[in-house]
Amino acid sequence: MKKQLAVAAGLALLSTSAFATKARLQALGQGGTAKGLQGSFFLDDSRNVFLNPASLNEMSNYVVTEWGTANDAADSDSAPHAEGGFFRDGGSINYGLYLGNEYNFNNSVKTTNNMQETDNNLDLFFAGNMGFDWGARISYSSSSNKPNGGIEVENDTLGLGLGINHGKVGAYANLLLKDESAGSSSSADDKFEADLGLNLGVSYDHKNMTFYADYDKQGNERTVSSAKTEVETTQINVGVANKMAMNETSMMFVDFRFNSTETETKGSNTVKTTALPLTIGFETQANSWLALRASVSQNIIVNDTETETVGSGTTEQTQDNTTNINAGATLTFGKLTVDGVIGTTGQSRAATTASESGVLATDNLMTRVAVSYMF
Amino acid sequence: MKKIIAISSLAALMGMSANATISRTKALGNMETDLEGNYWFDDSRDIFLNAAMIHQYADQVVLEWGNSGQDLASANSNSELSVNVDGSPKAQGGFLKKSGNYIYGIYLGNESNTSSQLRALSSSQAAIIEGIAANSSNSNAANLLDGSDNQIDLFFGWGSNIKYGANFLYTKSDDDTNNSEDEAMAVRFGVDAGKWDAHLNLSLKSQAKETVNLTALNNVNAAMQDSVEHEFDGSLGLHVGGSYEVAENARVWAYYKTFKWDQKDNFDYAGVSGTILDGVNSGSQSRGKQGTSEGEFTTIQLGYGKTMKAGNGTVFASAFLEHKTIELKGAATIEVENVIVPVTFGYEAKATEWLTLRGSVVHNIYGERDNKNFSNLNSVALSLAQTAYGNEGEGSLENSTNVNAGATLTFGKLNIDGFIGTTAFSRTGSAGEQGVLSTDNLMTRVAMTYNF
Repeated sequence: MKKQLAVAAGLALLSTSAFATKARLQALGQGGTAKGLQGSFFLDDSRNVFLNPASLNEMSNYVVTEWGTANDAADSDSAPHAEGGFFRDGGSINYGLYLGNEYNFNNSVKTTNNMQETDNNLDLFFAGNMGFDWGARISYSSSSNKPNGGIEVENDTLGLGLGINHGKVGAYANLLLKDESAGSSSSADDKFEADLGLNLGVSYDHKNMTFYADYDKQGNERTVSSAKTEVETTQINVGVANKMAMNETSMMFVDFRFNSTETETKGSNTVKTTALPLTIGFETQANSWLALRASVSQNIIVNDTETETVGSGTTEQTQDNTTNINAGATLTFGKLTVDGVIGTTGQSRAATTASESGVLATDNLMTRVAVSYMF
Repeated sequence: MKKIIAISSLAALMGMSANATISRTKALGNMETDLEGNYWFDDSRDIFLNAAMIHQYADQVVLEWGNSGQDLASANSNSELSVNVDGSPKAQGGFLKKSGNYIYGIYLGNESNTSSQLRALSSSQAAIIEGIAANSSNSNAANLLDGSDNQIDLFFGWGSNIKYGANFLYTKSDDDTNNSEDEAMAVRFGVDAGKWDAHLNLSLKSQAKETVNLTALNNVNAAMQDSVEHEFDGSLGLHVGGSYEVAENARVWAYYKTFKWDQKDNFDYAGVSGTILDGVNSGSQSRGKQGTSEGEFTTIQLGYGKTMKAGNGTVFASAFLEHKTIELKGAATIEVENVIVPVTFGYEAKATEWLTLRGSVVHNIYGERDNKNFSNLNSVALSLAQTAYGNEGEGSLENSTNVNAGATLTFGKLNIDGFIGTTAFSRTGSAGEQGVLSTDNLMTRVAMTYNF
């Protein structure tokens, strides 16, 4: 009984680092969602509100700020996207507001074709309990630009997320209802129109194990210089993760999943990637003010990319160098936590981008830094 | 009794840093090519030498920071052959877990440097200069055989008094676009009886092949063949060895390691005018051989090592005799013969409860080479051979004195290991040993070990 209490207390302690950020997700190898670092299929993390809004019921009363640039197209280790928000327990209803959570999935296409990207995105969250935890997220952005003598470009984006957590079962649906850009700096007739985006997922906890499945389908039709292109991407993740509380302040996990991604550019090619990534990670409260975490992942057994080009047949290749180590830390100052990734600075300072060269740099102490304040 | 308790406490303290990593073994003077551990002091890397050693390192996760390693043809995006070096370590890691009398584990990404070097050696000179010619005469753009990638090692151990361990490793990759494929498979068996240990490691398969279109060379001479096929085909490799405790904390060891391979190249060197090949890369016609070439390397090592407790630290001393021969029947018979007797002195001490420091000096008290026909090696292998085995001809091996240092930061059950002293005065270059203790690049070749 004492041991159970101790482990329970440990998990409670660890949950302080679960109020976490993109840096924590990256350090624990959780970048496998279709839209990047939007949450974990099996770890408790505050970013999970973007995957399943019902998880807001488990974590609230905090402000989070992710340091980075205002760049609306990319979110990379070297140039993370600036964003942040707050989440609050309002009694019967929990709510939150998050600013700037733009992901690169559709924006990269718009950037390439000089169209208006989804920008200044706003996410509004509501969550509560009516016998089970429920949550909803509305995502909205509208932006335009009309330069003097130039072509007006504009974008409107609207998304809806719904989720429930009931006992051991969690389920969510994230819909992209609208993502339309009109005009580009080259032509007023250029346009981008996203299909209905569908992200469905379910998870089931059994003892230390979490079984999960995630289906994500996105597509778009764009017209650039009168040439129409249709692209459809489908990603499936099915996996099982074993989470183990090793002691009062440490946990370890092993995650094994099947990942399939298929991108079809109609009339051109279809790229299908299948993989079985294995991820092993741990997180430990090293002392009262420092939590450390790290993970290793690699595709094993299945690791194929198949490219079928219309009129040219099919080529296959395995993905190179999938072994990936990530590490991170959280510095705790009372109710304030500073998260970051470590090990991303090279030995040389001549390079301006992130480099994983096995160096523990103390001048660039952490990268992809985020600060959370619990109130 | 007090003394016994004190020694036990010390052993417990030191035990933390013994669950260690590549940077620790190298900081203590282990210069082995494949970073496989050693016979005379304990380190978790020993599991890649003797699989039975997994019993000593159960219930831990090891993560070695890094990326894809040093690309041997960094300017050629079609070439995927890399080695794990200090300035550019390869990411790798895994875990070992105990379950009753059994131990099991998975380790990811521990590709062999020897395997990569043999693939570089077996690459066709015609393919190499095609890559260079196609990339603006950049000498780092050679077209090399692909290396092993995404390797997985599975471990299993059993036994109580006498402990046994087995390891199976497998790697496979292919690329239709580059017409290349690579596959390797090996098993390791080990036994550890405490006073003695032994292992038998077998390479069951190691194969790489590729077809390279000679587009750039054909632009120079349209009469040249359109493509070249090159292949590395390893036969059975054997690594057998063991150690015996001759006195308290003193061991003798011996091992025998041999590997044979065939390398194939279908480029007609004799049928091409010399000025065309040599115009791109000097001496190319003598660096390649059409058909099959047989290769073999053999290493024999006999050694003695002793560890001595001193205060809250340990002093290490070892000496061994190593005889290494390599023979490749290429355009001429290329031979390497190195005989070395390195001595190593090292130390490891717990400076504070959270900091362990270590260092070593290694020096060949005898080091001779007798290398022949290096001018018949392909241009990439030539550079690798000169670095590892010295220049062509007879003579002593130069500059064998090597000092390394490292540290471990301990946070409870988490250790962070690393090299220190590998940052140069400048911050605009890569790794450099210039006697600098830098605090911005606090440690390099960093690894984390979490004991659960």
